[in-house]
Amino acid sequence: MAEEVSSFSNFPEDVQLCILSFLSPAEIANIALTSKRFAPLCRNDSKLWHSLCARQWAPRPKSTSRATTRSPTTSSTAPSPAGTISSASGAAAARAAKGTSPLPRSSSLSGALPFVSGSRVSAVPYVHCR
Amino acid sequence: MSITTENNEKMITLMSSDGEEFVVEEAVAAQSQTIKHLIEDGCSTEGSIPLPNVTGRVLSEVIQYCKKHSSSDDKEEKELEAWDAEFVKAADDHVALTDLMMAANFLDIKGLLDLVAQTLANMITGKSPEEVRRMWNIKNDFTPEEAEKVRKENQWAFE
Repeated sequence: MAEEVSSFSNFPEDVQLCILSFLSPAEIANIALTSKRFAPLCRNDSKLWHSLCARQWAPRPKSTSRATTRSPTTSSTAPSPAGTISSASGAAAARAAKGTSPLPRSSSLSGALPFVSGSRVSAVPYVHCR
Repeated sequence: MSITTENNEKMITLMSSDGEEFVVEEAVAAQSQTIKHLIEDGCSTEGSIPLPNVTGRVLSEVIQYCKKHSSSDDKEEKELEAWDAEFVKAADDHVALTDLMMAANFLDIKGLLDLVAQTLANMITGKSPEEVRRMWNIKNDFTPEEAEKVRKENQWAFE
């Protein structure tokens, strides 16, 4: 593909959100500071913050998660990230994230989000982020 | 064109945007939801499946990934993870990763999409907004006041 489509800006929004969903809140806040275009992207509750919460709290389906991903029998429609949040704390945090705009600001919430601690890379349960 | 091999595996021909043809087993090609749906709709019965958004260079890498992932079972998860790490390392510069990301998105290959998204995210990790702008060629269109406002809004994330 040509050089001019090699920038993050040229990705479809879903792809940008997918990449952002692998970052920590502090890193997402940094992306919000890059330009006017990305500031609203980083406030996307329904896609970005729900998939962050889902990634953190959805139960990791043992070794079958990636097998399901690989299996051609999987439906192409990803379940809504909200639907994958199963624990009460995850749902509560998701609600809190949803309720405060632009970003969830409550300090108690940020304290309650374990993915701030940087454990998210190893904890990625391969949930659907689109 | 769909051909059947000796071990009864149906073969599919994929054609890249630059006219390169790849003959792969159907199970390999069907790792891509997009191709799987095209096969289900009968698009593979006449000639090759055209993939206008993917160049031959990128498609060959994608096929490499699909082959590996269709032949490994769950017991080999650790080995597969190591293979994945090597795979994205080989496509190290972000232009190549960007091409892979676009292809994975178009072809709808969830595992590859997550793998490349994670890799691109790792490249952002620890970078300042200015460094991210330089890396991704993003123009800073904030006035100092606007930037300060966004920074305040997101202050919680740094606490």
